[in-house]
Amino acid sequence: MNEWAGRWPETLVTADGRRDAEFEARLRDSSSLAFSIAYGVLRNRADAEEVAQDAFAKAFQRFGDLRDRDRFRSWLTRMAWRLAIDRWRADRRRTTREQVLVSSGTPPSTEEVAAARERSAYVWQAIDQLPEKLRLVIVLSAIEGHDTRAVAALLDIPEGTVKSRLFSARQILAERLRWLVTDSPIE
Amino acid sequence: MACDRFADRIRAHAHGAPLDQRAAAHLAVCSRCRAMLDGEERVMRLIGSALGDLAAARPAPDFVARARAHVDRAPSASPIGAWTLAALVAAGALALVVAVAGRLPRAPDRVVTHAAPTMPDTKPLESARQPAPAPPAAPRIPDRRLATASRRGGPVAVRDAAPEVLVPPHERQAIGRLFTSLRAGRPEVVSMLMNLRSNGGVPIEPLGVTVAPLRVDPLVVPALPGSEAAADKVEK
Repeated sequence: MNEWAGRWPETLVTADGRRDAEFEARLRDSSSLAFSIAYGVLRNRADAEEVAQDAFAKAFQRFGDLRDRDRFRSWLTRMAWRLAIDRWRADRRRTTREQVLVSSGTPPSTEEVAAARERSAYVWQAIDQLPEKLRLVIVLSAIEGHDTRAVAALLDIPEGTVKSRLFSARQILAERLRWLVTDSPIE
Repeated sequence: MACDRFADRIRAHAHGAPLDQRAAAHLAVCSRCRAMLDGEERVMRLIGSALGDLAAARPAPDFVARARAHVDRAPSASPIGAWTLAALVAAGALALVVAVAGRLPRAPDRVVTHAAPTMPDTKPLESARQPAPAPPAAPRIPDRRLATASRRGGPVAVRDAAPEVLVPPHERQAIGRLFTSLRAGRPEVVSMLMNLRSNGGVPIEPLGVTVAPLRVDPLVVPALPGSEAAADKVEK
């Protein structure tokens, strides 16, 4: 601490400690959310963790500005999304993307893995090209446990708007990806 | 053709929209539309599978600890809001400027008029033999307005240029340090500014300046000519 430490008013010190404790609880509660949002944009585990950490650091710096603390998750969502999009745009030329494959009962063959990875890459390429509002909605709805109502709460928009955006996103994606299923069966 | 009329609705159904009765009835009897719906649902499953990868992704177990350490390394937050901080900075800067300006000696308001030098009416004989004194050299014209007035042939007046250094060096340094502290978001300076009292100046010891309170004199508006007569008429 610096030379001013002893001159801080007692109320400020107390409020500071209370704020730190409250932020700590919210960090634990929302760490997975921030990571998932960043991962939905970057699809690279290390990058997503970095962006999520930056989002928490930014949130901590501005925590005093947040009047309604119940809206922390919504606030953090916007922050993490914006940071992730900025990072994604900066790294757009990135060629390797980490892909997590959900393992099935039987281990897939090399060809199956390669084909699934290729299809997944096409899907994500199409998602990346969506307008930002549609992209955000489809990524958030994909994060486990987020139905349209939860997405609406996170984005602070009506649930009907979320449904409409989801529908538009699916339509655009289907238009762009229909060719993937016309020639060969997926399953 | 019936399939063309229902194609959009059937595709929309695959994307999450409800299916109306007529489209459902057509779908029940049309194998081509069922195949189309099946293909569309496969696209949706493909998208869902890719997004499922996202749902399965979790941060590393030590992520929370690392995030906490990252937050601790970040610059500390201000105990007050950004807008409040900005308002306090502005108020503090204004108070300092007023305090410093109040202590400065004002530059004399001399006005030099350049007119033709007038010769005295009576002169001693000795001085008449001496060559006439040269008129004073015209001062450098520092003001653009002056040049304009001169071109128009109007009367020319030169206001003395203000001194270049308005603030004494030690106070200038103190103000600079204060602004640097405020810009760096040091809340202790802000809390000091919040403690300003209206009944007297507050000394900021480490900075070596005293912040005096603002004093606002009541504004006296002189009565306009004829206003008293108008008031009398209204009363009558």
